[in-house]
Amino acid sequence: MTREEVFEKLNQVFQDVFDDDEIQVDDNTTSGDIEDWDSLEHINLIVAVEKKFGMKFNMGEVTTMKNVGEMADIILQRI
Amino acid sequence: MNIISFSFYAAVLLALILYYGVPVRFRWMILCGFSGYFVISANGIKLALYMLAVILLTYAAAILVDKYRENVRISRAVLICGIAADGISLVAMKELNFFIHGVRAAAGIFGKAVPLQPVSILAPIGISYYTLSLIGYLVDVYWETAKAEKNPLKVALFTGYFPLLIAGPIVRKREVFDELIEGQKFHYENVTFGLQRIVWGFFKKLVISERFAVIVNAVYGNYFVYSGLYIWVAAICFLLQLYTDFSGGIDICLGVSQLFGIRLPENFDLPFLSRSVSEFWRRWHITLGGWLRDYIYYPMMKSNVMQDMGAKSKKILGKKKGKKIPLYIVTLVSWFLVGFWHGGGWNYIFGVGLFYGLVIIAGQMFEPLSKKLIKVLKIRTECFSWHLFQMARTFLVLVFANSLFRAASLKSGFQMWKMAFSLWNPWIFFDQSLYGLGLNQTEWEILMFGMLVLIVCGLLRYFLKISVRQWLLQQNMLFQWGVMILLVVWVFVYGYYGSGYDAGAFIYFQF
Repeated sequence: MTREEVFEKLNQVFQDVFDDDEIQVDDNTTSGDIEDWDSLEHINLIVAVEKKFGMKFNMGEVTTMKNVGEMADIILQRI
Repeated sequence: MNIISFSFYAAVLLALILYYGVPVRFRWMILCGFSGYFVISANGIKLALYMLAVILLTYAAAILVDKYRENVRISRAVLICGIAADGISLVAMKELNFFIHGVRAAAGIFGKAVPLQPVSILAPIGISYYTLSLIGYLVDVYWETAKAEKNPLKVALFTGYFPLLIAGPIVRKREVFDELIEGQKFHYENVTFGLQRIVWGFFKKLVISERFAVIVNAVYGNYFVYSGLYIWVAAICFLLQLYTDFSGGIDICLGVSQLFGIRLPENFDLPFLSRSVSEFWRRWHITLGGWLRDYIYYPMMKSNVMQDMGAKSKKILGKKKGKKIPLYIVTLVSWFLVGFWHGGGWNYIFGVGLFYGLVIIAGQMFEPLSKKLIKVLKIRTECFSWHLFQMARTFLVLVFANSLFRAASLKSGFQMWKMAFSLWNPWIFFDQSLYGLGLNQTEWEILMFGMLVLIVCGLLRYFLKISVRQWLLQQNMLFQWGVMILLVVWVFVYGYYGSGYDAGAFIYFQF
């Protein structure tokens, strides 16, 4: 899977989790850019991403990921 | 050792001379030695050894977790034992009475008496802070976000570094370890910034907080003779006392640390400008909130038990409502722990714990309804007036919650609020009644002027992104030191020391 394809799928997950069809994420997107992306929604997002890509993040990654770019890097390593 | 005492600063000065006097690679040893001296002089040798034992135990557990990483069963067992040992070391010292009261109450229900009496234990200084840092370190090693440290003294330093032991912040290894161990070169800015921060902390504590304390103690100490707006005044004053006391203490500790060139994580970011309770906890006691999020909330939410529960509740309640069920449960557990960490009394567990959890859950539950209302009433939500309303609403929640936190017990806290609504007495603001609470007119004016300075600095940062300290740094040296000396004189002249020039202890020092 290419990085572009990963982002295409990530867009679908973000749109679904945050219930907003207009969300488009890129490498630099952080929780500050999406209004509802707080600690309450973070895990729902992580689990939804795991299901979509059939992989798992470890807890260290869940707590230290800084932006969607890092998320995509981890996904590309695992699939 | 009180951080508002001459002896503390004399000792810090000596430590600074030694620190900058030895080669950079040995500087961490000075900090380690001074932190040890600080702990022994505050606690005595026995409690210092208790603290050291817990640190060594965690150090060894981290090494074992790392060594047996390939064998998940062993490394997980070591992790669990290490966390349990750390947790027990904290609970045994701080929250034992919660269990003693619980057992007595449970036995009382069945008409039995238990020969257990509440105990009074002197806990090691900073135990609530360094224990959480130790648990965080161990978990980080397990998660591979931190390396297991081979030198036990280095683990002792980054968890027991003396400025952290007064009132936090709670630190992670990655945030402070390298700066502490590598040693810092002397920089003029670190010294001026550090001194400014210390004086600012003194200003908050001595000019503002100690005056609020007089009013708060007068009303809370005799709450049954006050009613109506007196209770409101005292509750608001307590919230402001707590903020200026806690954040002032943190300012002093961060300032002292900066003298050594070590930057510690911030614990406050203009909390009263929060528009929701969730946002407040991202701006208030930031390192406790972050610790709880990473080490309790996220792992619980991601656990198989909660994921299964979420899947089942989604089937029964539908996707939107169902996914919230695990969130509510984990939120309540997390907030219970926040309250419990503050102390084994229900006024803490509810007032600074569960109550916030319930408010956050209520906010989640009523979100669809409030969105509908906003739409029907055509309320503009992207404007100052709406944001101001949200801030005021959040502030009121905080006033209520923290009044329970201050009350002698949960019961007396609720009694106070019953009395707050029993009488409408707005004349107390006009007939000089408030001067009967221990502060005369001049004292009130000094307090209000101090608050004005604090608010103006906060608003400048929030709206115009102007940091007064950064702005000062850009000025000529004469002006910089002029402002600093003015602030020092202000603190000396208008600082409220109470009888015997003895400032009250910091509120968060007890946790």
